[in-house]
Amino acid sequence: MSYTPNTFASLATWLNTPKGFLITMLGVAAVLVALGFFTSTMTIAWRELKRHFRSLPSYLVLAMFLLYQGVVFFMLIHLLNTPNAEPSPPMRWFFGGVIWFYPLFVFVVSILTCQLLATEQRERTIEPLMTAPVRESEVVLGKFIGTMGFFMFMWAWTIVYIVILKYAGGGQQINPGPIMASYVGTMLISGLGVALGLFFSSITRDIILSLAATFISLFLAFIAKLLMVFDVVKTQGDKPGKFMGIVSSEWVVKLLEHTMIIDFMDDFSQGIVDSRNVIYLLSGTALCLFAAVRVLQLRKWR
Amino acid sequence: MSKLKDIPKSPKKSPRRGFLTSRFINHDLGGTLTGILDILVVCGLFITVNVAVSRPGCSWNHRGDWTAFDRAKRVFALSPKTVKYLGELNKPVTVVVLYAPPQGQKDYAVAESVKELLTRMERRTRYLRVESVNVVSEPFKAKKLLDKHKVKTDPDAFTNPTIGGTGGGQVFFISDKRKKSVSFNDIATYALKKEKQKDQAKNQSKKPQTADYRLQYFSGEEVFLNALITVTQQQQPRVCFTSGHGEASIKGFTAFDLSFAAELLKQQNFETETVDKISGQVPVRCDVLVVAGPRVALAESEVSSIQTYLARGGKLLFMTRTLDVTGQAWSRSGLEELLASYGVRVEDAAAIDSKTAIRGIPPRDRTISPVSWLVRDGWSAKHPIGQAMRGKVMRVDSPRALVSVPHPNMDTQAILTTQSKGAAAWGERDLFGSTAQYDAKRDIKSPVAVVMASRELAKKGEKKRRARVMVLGTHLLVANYKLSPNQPSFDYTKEFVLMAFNWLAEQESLVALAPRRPEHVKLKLNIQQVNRIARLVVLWLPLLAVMLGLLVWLIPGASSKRGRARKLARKTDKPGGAK
Repeated sequence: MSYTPNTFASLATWLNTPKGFLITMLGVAAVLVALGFFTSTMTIAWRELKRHFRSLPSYLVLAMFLLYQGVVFFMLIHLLNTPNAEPSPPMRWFFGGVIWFYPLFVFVVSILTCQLLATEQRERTIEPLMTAPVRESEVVLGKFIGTMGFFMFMWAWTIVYIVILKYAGGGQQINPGPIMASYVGTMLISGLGVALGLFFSSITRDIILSLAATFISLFLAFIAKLLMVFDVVKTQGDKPGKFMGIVSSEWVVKLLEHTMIIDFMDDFSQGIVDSRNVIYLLSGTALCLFAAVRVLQLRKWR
Repeated sequence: MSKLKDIPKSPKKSPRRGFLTSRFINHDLGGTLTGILDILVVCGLFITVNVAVSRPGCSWNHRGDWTAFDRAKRVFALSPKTVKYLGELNKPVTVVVLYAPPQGQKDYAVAESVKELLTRMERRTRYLRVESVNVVSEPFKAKKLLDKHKVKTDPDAFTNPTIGGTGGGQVFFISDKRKKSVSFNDIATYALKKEKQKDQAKNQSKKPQTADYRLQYFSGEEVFLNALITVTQQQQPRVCFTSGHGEASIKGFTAFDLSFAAELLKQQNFETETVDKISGQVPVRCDVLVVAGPRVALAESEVSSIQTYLARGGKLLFMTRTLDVTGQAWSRSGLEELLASYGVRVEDAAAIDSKTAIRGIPPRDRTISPVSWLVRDGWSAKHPIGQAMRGKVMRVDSPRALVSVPHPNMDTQAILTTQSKGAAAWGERDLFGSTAQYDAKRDIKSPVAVVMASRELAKKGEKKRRARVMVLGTHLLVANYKLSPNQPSFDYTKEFVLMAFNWLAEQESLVALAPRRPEHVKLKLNIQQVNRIARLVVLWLPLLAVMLGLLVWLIPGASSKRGRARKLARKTDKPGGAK
């Protein structure tokens, strides 16, 4: 078998289907677990997950999350059910179709991640953890998986909305493909958010500072869209074609087009899974996790 | 930290040894520097990977479409035909999109669909470059771009629907000196919203507003692909129209002439000409020969030259008339025998579909009533044109019935037939009957073909050109009045005519792709259902989460042991606290 560009193209195409994606994800997880690579990582992840499941505040966060999502979902149903409303699937607007998706997302990610490593450092529980025979990478990865597990648990509750829409709504037509893509997109963006939060949590002992840094970074990443919507990039600057008189507006526009998370989610919610977006989110997550590991290593031996 | 004892032992690394750079850089530089360098290297890697993947034409640069598990039903994915063409594209093409901000939901839907389609096309090849400009917010940039590519357009046409009518945008395909423009109106089919249809039925005097329409079909892929092929293809196929037998003329501008068809063909990169004398031979330069409804029969020598032309792999489009010049008998062209030898027989019968009949049109050839009818479900899926036209409406005026003649070397297919079943559709042989009625003994049974195509089959190992013949049961199908811009938007005659010429010119890739139908799921809930959903999602689900939390908090041993450990740790830290 020769590995021509066509082979890669077909592989990429296959990977970018619901079936291909799920099989790949399951395969990768199975191989890693089978190799025992994740043994220490999984212990830490499980400890993190149990901490969430055994604490009342986590459930209160979940309740607030569900209340917010419930209100948004109900509002969408109400709007789309009016006679003059455009025909459109409700779940497309639930995920990324509206601006309501983002404030909660940023808030919950910041809340869940701010104390991951910062609390460990502040309460000095990091020392016994670091002196245990585990790598820093395993600690970071374990905490990341644990937090993502709880985040996935929170989002899993929203699957009930689809069931409700289907059965309480008198058998509404539901297209599973875009919904699957929306959940995949939410998880990928959450992954980047959690990794970023983990990184900020690793560089400070102060929970508030970590929370603020995560919140502002994620919020800026989302509101970058406004720069495009209001043509700020194109009309800014003393010279035509220069953003703030420094950088070429075209370059800024291109950069924003490639990195705007709001647009990514808009694509996912329509059932469009762009490999470029997926790679950007995965590599961004990997970069943040790597940075968190490096920071932890440096702090450990200071 | 009790659980940490469960963690298996793993080899511990040297504290100052980083992942990447410290392996190559002197350790004296210190852990901080190597750590920062490590992060910088990974940042570089991050940028490199993302830039590499973003390259147009990169195998991993793939925009997946999860809208349906069945490939054929996907809303956004490009068809294999488009993907193949873009993969083979080896000429730079610039696509300039000029648009005005969308005025309503339907404009927005078209603009979004165009953007998505062009993004997908651009990703497939490095030869395609798309430049989009908002003509309202960036008028100078738009003008500069138009001047650069030497393209002319009226900026008012974008914002004022009465001028030009671009539908809010125009797309220019430019390659070398060839240009092709497509307006948003060419790629979108609108339909009244269902609620508005009901209102309209109740109150017909009320004119529908722009906002009352929704996007019904989006045929951007087909139109854009055709435009791309038009600006990049090397040769221009030549279509020759015969004259001298009372045929419709490509230079005439009456309702029954073919000047609009000729213009349409020119826009699609065909060359057209009229050939006066074909008695010697049909000119070799003619890729397609059109005999458009001759009033008098062709001479034997002319039929013979057409036969020779077909024998050497020529392509013939024959359009028949219903009546001859006297108006008293079926029209004869002299080509009947030749056509039969290529698998199609023109019957002395008029194809009638009484269920979809429209009365009162057209003004001529109205001997048999009803003469005109609409067709939507009569397209044959066996022929590529029939496949592409499936579900599209077309009006057929005064058609003659066609019948397939089995021939071992020919593959003959009916492209369009009457759609009604049973006695509702038939081939009427009684030319001057006062009322048209199906007579089982005499008439042709439904479905009756009105457009047929025949293709000479290739023998094994033989590489010569193969003849293609298409017969239209009526010459009015290509007439000016059918192709005028005033035709209703639901009539797809223009698309059919283009596909017919492309098929004859062996440009199968230009035979249209099926249009996309955007997802239109309208919620229809009654007040009880809405209230039930509200109670479940706003009340019961959050309450369930709170109850779960309380359960965890109240059950002894269920709450976090680590939390208690922390409290203990705080106590021990306090001066005088428990040791």
